[in-house]
Amino acid sequence: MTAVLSLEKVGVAFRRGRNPWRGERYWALRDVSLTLQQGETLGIIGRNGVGKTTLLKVIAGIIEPDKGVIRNSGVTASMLSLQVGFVPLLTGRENAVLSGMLLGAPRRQLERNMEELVAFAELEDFIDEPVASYSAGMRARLGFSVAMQADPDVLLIDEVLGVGDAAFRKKSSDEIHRRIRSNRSVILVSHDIGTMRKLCDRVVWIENGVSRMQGDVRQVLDAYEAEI
Amino acid sequence: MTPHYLQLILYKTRADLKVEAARGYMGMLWWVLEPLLYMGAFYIIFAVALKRGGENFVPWLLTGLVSWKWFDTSVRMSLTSISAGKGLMSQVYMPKLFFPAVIVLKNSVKFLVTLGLLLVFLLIYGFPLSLYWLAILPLVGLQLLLITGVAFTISALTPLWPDLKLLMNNVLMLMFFLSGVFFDTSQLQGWLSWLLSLNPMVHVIRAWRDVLLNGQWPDVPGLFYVLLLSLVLLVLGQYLLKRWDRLYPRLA
Repeated sequence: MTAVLSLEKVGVAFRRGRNPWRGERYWALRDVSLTLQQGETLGIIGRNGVGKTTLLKVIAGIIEPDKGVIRNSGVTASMLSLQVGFVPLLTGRENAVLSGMLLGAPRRQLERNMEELVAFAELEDFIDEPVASYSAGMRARLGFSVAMQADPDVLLIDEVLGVGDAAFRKKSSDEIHRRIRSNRSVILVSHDIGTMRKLCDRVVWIENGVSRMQGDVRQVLDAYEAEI
Repeated sequence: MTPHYLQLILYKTRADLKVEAARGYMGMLWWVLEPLLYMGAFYIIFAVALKRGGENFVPWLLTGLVSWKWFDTSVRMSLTSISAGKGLMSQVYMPKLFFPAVIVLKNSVKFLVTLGLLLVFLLIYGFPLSLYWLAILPLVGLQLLLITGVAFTISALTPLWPDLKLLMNNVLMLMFFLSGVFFDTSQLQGWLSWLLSLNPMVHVIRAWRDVLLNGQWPDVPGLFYVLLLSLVLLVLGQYLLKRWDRLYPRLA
């Protein structure tokens, strides 16, 4: 097993007020250490507001920690985000390319896979219509299919949720589950213990911005459940 | 800047231009119509109502306006470019250069359309197609460099210092009146002339007029100053955007 990514005593402080250099600091993350091994699915569990989303942003390189070290063995990490940068007046096809590129997929790959993408989103008849004319469900389907084109080494997922109507919700959550189970390294944030038990190889428990426990799925989750 | 992000900037620019055209019923016609109306308003005020200027006043005024508008619109829009991209940058990482770069490119495409219109107008008005027009290309390049430098620097600063937005609105207005769009800066003397010549747009506008109207090569020392200033701003802006790259997504 090789570690692809590790965090050591990472903390992130935000400032109250507008000025990023003055104003009272409060620590959204205080002391988080974790290691992600090649190919594993690491779960992050914790109550609302303990800094799970901030943690994913740090790992994705969107923000920088104020203390601690991130060691990266040269892998890319990005969040699974839906409908990133969608522009209502552009067509579905144009939005797919734009959004896909924002998520890091090369333009040529997106154009090559377009047919497959459109078929997955079930939008064959509408792909050249402006997204403004789509229903919320259609937009969600397109957003999901585009997100599936992003191919980071480490996939960061904030809650595994299917999108769209019942049928598509099943199809999309099946697709995410398939990706999580594959050989890809995944970090999965959730407060659903059932999902965690099913999908994760190891779990980190975060409480008040501190990584409290890390290791075996059953051990950590049992301790977490006993606590709450 | 990797090729991927370069491609992304180009694609986003094209998309934005398309969206702008799709927004009204008249579409791309607005790219022509808008500068015509803009220039028309100034023409009516200065040439008809105030009866200012002598021979060739209208081409002289329009040349200055076209060049100024490119600068002004790009700078104004880049002031808020990074705060406008906040939603995007908190979901995916991207070099923050992306935001002002798209603005500058978008406005440059629109400028080229306007420049084409201006050249056609000048030919119809009776200015000969001269060898000096060869200087148009490097002049476009120089002004693009200046705009990019200013746009990068102020887009990097405004999210951290929001007062800059209000300040810049006034600075731009002052620069507009002092850039020689309305009067001939070369006739001023003494300290006032020296003060005005700090404004890079004075040199750029004068160069445009030299090339398009006066049939002469532009003044090299003045443009050299603009080039130097642009490069300094370009390096500074890029440095700041990089330095605060992961700070911007945290700002409210």
